[in-house]
Amino acid sequence: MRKPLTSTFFAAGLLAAAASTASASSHREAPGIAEDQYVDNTDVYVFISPGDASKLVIVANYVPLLIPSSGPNFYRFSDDAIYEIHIDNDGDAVADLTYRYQFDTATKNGGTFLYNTGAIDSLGSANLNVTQHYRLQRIDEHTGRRTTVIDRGQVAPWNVGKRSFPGNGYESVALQAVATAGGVRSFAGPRDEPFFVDLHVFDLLGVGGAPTTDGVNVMSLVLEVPIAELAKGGVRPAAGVASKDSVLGVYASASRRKVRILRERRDSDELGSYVQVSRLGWPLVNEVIIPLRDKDKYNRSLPKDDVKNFGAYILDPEVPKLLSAVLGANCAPKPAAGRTDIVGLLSPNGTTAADLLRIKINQGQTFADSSFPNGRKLTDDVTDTLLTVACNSGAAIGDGVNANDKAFTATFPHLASPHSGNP
Amino acid sequence: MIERRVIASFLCASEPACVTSARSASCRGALLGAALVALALVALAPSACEGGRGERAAAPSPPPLAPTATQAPEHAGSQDDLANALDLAADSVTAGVNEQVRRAWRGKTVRWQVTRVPALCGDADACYVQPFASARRGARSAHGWLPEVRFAAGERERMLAACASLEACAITLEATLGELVVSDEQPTSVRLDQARLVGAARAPG
Repeated sequence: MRKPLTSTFFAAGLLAAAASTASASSHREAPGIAEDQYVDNTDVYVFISPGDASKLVIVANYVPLLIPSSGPNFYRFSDDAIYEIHIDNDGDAVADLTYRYQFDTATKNGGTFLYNTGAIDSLGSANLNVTQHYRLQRIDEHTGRRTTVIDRGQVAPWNVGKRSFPGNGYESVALQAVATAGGVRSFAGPRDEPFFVDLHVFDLLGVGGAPTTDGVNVMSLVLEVPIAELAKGGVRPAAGVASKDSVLGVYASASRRKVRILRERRDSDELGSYVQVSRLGWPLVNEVIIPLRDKDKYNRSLPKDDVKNFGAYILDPEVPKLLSAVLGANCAPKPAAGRTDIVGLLSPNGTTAADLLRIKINQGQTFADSSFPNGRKLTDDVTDTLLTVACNSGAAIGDGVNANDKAFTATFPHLASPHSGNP
Repeated sequence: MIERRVIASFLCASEPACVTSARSASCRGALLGAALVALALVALAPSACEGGRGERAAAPSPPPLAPTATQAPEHAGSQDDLANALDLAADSVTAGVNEQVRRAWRGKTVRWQVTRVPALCGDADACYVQPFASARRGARSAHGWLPEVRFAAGERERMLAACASLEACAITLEATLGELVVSDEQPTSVRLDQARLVGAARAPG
């Protein structure tokens, strides 16, 4: 049985980092990104598809902790940002492939404040006043070649409420937003927040098993791609091969234009090249490994430089010291070599250690094998796993929250339907 | 050091010869120039006319030139010194302070004891070492950077031989601090170039 924390879970490091509201895997984890919610990465999940072991599912969530009843301007993706999923397929922590989402919002009738002017029964409903579409591109980072995978996918609408989606009809409308192109499937839209954790740690370390992320939503990008299209050279490695190429590394990011000019008499202008403002691979790295002084710098930097930039934080993490000092968790002392065990988790098969979510893609790997840190399933209790690893005392440590409030599905897009704004 | 007899002959050149023609412009110019130089030489050298026409009492020897603060020390400082400088720069509101730190350290020779672990310094392509064996006592904050080490020819092999199978090897390196990124926007990073192994032992702890 896991021993629940009786006091804080990450203690001072997280308290300092978490600003004024709740924080989960990587929600509002840095001072800069806390002021730009729409481009804040929250979580990345990667797992072999439960329905087709030849495919990989990647979930990249953004825009944290969304209240369901959040009208009149319901949450969406930013039209002025690019959202990207990066794939390293040769183990050097440098992206070889990138899937890029760009969004565009349209309003049918600007003369009303209403998001929808009547009940909605399909994505194409004339009553859906505000719609958002996206283009999905695949970028070969070696050649620079861009291929449009989905030219005009539609973002699933917000689950406004029972009057807008009568008869529990929301999910059937939302699932119409699943787009298919060749062997690729894509979904963009609101989902139930899948990360489960007790955030009462921020009330003077008062954690105790409360499921504090229940009932909120998040904006999700869900991508399902044939593994062979992601693997180096287009060939899925054979079973049993333990090479750098048999592990994919995944991280998500968001970028904004370098310059924004606010105008007095019209909308602002966004100019210049894109600058990365957020990134995430593993859960909880920028939350509790990187201290305040480096959090914004972390978001601007690339995983390939993680060792030289932040390696000392990994080798000598703050979390176990706090667990011992505050909770009496009796965590193991840091070895002379530092926490090379954590470095090893970040560098399977001799890949370059970096904050990438890595998953083995050999022939024969299945959904059942996709368990953090070999990928990450929606049901994986990464909080408990990382606390236990960090403390390294031989005892399991947890926060007392072990499951999501809603069940995940075996069918794409796998995340649960978002909470209604008016249930 | 200019020999006294040279100075004496210079200053105590035959006066009668020059006096009789002192009124000529060329001689006056020569005398003025000689006087200026003489003043400079007198300031630097022992008594110039000893043994020559017009003996003078020997001036006391000036003290030897003292080392100034601008002279670079043999080694630029420890990694703790660098970390403290970075902390001060991070706290400073003075413009250009990051550049000052870069200039003070980049290109300098350092001799640091660091910890090498195979997981981060076993590959010929990349070697990163821990600059701090444990949390810096009394330090204002922790630092995340691990110096990248580029060894001089043959030195990596020496290091591998010295560390052998040690999981944590305390190595003393003498190297040039080749790259130092100090920025308000970017993470701090350090690179040591032409690193030479000075010593190695099992790391404590």
